[in-house]
Amino acid sequence: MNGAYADVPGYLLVFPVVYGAVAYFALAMARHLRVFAAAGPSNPFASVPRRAWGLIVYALAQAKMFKDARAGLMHFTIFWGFIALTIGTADIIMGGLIQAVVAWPLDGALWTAVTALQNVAAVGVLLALGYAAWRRLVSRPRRLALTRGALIILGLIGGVVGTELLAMALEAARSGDRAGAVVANALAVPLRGLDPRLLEVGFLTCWWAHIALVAAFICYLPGSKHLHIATSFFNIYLRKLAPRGELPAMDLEAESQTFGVRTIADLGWKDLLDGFTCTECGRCTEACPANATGKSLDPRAMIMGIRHLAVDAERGLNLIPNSPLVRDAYGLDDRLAPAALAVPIVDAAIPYDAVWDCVTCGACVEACPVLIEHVDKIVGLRRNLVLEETRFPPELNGAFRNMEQVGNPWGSPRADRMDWTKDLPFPVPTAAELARAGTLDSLDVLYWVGCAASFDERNRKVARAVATCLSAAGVRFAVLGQEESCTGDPARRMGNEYVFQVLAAGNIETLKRYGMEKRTIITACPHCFNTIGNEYGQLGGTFEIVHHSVYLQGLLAAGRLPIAADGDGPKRAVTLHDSCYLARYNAIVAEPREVLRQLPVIELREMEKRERSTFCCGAGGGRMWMEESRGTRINEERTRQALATGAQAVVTECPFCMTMIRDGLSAAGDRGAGVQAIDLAEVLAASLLAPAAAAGATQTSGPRQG
Amino acid sequence: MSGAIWFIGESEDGRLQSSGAGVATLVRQLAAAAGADAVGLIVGSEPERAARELAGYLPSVLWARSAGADSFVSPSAQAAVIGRLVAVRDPGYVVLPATPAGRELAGALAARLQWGVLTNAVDVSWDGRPIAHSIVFRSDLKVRSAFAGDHGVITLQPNVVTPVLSGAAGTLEEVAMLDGELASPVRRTELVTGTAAASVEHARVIVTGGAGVGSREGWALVESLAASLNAAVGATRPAVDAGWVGYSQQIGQTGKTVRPDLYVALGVSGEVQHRVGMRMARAVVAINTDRDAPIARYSDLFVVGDLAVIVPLLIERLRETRPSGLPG
Amino acid sequence: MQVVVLTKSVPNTTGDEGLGPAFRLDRNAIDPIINPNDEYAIEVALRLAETQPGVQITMLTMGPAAAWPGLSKGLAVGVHNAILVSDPALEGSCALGTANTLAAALRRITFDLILAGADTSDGRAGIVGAAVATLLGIPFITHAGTLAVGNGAVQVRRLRDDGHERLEAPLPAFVSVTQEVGDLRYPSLRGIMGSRSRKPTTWSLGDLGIEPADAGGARATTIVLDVEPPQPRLPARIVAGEPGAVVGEIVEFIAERRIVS
Repeated sequence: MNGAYADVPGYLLVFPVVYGAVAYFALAMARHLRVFAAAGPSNPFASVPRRAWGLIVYALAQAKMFKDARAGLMHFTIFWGFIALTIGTADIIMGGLIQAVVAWPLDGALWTAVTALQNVAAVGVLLALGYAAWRRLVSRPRRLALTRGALIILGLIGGVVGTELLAMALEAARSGDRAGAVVANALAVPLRGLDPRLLEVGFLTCWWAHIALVAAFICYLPGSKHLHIATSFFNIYLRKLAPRGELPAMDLEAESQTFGVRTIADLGWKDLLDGFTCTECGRCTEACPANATGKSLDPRAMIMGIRHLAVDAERGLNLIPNSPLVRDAYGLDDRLAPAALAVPIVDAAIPYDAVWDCVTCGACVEACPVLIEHVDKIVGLRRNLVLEETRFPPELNGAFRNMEQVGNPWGSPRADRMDWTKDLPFPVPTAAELARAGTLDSLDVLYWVGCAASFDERNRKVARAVATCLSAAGVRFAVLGQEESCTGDPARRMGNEYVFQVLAAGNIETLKRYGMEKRTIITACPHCFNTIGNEYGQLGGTFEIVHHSVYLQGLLAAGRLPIAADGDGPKRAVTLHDSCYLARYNAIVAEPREVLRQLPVIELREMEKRERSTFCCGAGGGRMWMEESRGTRINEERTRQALATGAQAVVTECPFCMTMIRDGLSAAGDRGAGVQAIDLAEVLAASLLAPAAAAGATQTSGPRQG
Repeated sequence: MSGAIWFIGESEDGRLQSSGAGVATLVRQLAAAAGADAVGLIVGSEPERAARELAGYLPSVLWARSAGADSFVSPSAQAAVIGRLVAVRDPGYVVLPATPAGRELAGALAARLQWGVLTNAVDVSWDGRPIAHSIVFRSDLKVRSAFAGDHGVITLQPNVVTPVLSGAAGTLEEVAMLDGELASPVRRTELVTGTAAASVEHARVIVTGGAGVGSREGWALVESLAASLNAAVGATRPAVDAGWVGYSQQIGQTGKTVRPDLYVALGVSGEVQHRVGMRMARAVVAINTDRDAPIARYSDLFVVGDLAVIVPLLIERLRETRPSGLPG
Repeated sequence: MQVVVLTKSVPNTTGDEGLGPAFRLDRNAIDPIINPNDEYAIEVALRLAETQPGVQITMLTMGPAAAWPGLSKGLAVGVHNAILVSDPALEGSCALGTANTLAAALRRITFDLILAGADTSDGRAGIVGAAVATLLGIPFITHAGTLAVGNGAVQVRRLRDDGHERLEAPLPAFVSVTQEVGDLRYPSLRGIMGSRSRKPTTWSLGDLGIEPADAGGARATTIVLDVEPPQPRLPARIVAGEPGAVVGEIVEFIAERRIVS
């Protein structure tokens, strides 16, 4: 039976050693799962084909790893190399079964090929490990922390691979070349002169060392950050499939539950799986704009902290659980440490300030190769702080109150909602007026203006530009006017689910009243866009909403917007600042660029951080209504990146980005002087052929004061 | 002939409180229109000097000295004295300045006498009875109101009437206190005046500086103008960020919400984040170099110009126009 | 200790204001809220309840039944009881009438401390508190910046235009508070949900032993003669040019608006 390994003395010992390790691994994993059972429900099982496809893209092809090309290649090599090498190890622990089967056809050519592949893989893995060690010890990129765990893992993998290769080489030196073992055979050449007894001792030492290291590796895994090799497949398969911009629904009427997330018991079990999947690679923290500007938010530390809380909860549990019979008979307690389950996540896994530093930009989620969801957890923590503990930055008191009382975070009078239309040369009807006149059916689109464009003087100009473009293209549109309210996006992302649901319910009712489920809504605000499009469905409102960049691009493509073909003058260099809620959350990156490409007077200069990897302006997640007193300002950092392109204008596609970039430009002093922040719709409106262009879209003045 | 119209003055460090002269002037004019006597009344620990000052505005002044070393007279005790004097001398109407002290005294007096109260008048005219003109709910609504009966208490906004001396010294009369009349269960343990920046929340006038102020030196202009208008100093977020002034003075979305009668905005662009903190201001004057600044839409008077030129000139002009009869 | 907070229901003046018949505020047209200054008083009461054992907080409001939804926030943040004095005959009450009615209601309950905001956002008169205290014969202190209770007395840091003073009065007493005491805390979700179903104790004039003919508009001591209808704010007058001239404009504007002499 053990023909292949008959010459290895004591070969049978392999079985207890390795299978013992596997048994320990299984028991340790089962102990982890018992904490999962204490956590809340998650139900990520529907859509099997999509989930399976995700496994191919993210686990096998490791698409996200290649955002960092060199680290990606390194990881890809180790991953696939390790799998190839595992064939050999598996053969050993299966008594040579694999070899027996694979070597059977084609006179063993297949097994020879496998051996060759393993040899090459071994070299590849060793080189990649060398690179990984060099990064940790020498080049030391900011995101990588040098931990003992990381070095142990590198050492274990290197040991497993190195001993196997060396054993093969020593065996080749002793008993002649092995078919396909190109590397081992080459290594054997200089060893041939050695004493055969020495070669045999060397071979046995390496062979057993390999087995011992494999067993050690398996035992080490469950308690290490390297567990991801077991969990990431599950984590990827069980990932959130809802739009990333859709925060988890919440039942406010359920009285017995904890509102939001306070302890790990309030998380879903999938959130704990996130914790056990984190490899501490630091991509999330590296991508985090709050972290990059000196704030205490560290998404990796939060995920690690959640894992530590989960591990604390299982501490004291027997590895082999007692049966209920034994527990009852001897009065044994075999439960999770209740104290650890009661530890609030805030301050244990993430500092209180950091919870509020988050701009919910999703850069961490986007960066994570194993699809961990950070933002939903942070919002869950905020929900608990707001709804149960009423602990939040004091500035939010006013914003919450204003949203609740007058339907916008600034507390501006509803009566002012139509003020932006005053200077327009064409009328902007409200849906109510059309309904009264019985002409609602003639409507092409409803323009959802949003609070910023209704009340903020600068963004009112954007609303005028949007309306001017629509009017120039002959689109019949209306607005809700005083019947529009904040969508609730800021409230929701600040954790105030109650105010969100009140506002959302009101808006859904209004939109349904005018039959908007069967029409198209357009908006220039990515936050309104995301919330109406991705979140209102939770509350029974399914609407088709289009961002103005997409809608205007469509009008351009259809030839409905006459563009001045003024290509003579020097081109105006602009850069495009992608909005997180548009580009990252909703993958809208091509259309705004296409609009700019269509304008002969515009030259687009891209920033390094763009499209789905864009860098937040600092206003998301309700940060627009909070003071930013910790660290430096996110908007100033983003403006610095924009100015580095040498652009004369920063094109925005979100009212909050507009405000933040304008602030950033004025804070940049001389460097920002003469550089404008301008919305995509304004760029377009300014390029319209007269008389359409005369229709009110005015150029903006210099940087703001005060 | 109607009953007399009384003015209740406040004395402060032995002098007539600055808001008093204007209100007294109006009482004199009102009484003349009504053909009634105008009478001033001062109750305090050192009332004579204030009473003499008041006699410059009114033909007849009563004063009463509170006994004891403690200069503090609680408003309820004042109301008790005044209520007794009113019952004895039977005036028609009592006018007080709409200051914090004047308001609480008016409330106590109204309750004691069961007289109606008209509050926060910006003017009082006579048409067979006093007609109070007031402004409620921002500056939109101008209301004229009157008493249903023959008596009433009026509080008049301070500083709305320019003080004018009557040209003749009025008569002074001391009224005696009854034993224990000024005894009050309310004790004062400490009095601190002339300290710290006036808080913006209660200020009737606020001078606010924004990024357009430009520098720490420029900020000194904001503070001097505030001093010459007796105003509190406000700031926008950029001004606070620049370190020119503390966060306690920040007005706007993430700062304070204010509702002054006059808001002077210097170098403030008027973004919505700031606007939300000051939109309750009754009147807004803005000075800015940028003609297109959003604040223009929210101002009553918008001055395009350089702060460094205009503000010093304005301070000088305000100093010139301050009438001589006014203390401080 | 029994703490009563006088809370007035006021229109949310960040919205549109309109006047109804007889120049009275059309309170039906505007969402009512708790007078912001009264909210600070509620916060003070809640803090007392946190630091002292046995504090019971009661809100007392005079207003129409429609005022209730706006007032329920008080219960959401932790006020224990709410009393609404509501009677059709109270419509058109003058300030004195309001004080008389509130005093009558207060005589029916026990209290150690009465709190209220220094003035209201609609009337801004700031006289009712002192009037109520006078009617009840208890000491009053207005414009508190901070407040503490101990040794059977209330200690107040009272704000003055020119600084502050520390005053002390024995309980029972009335104190009005300013924005400086701090914002009213935000209600928890459980608080909001719990307050939804609760209703205030409602007292009519009959419950207070007052004849309808002796209260409200029937006995109003003041009358509104006329109101200049609301006008949209005129666009700013824009002046530019010679500094001396524009400064003259500013001085004139200030004088014209009767703000400062």
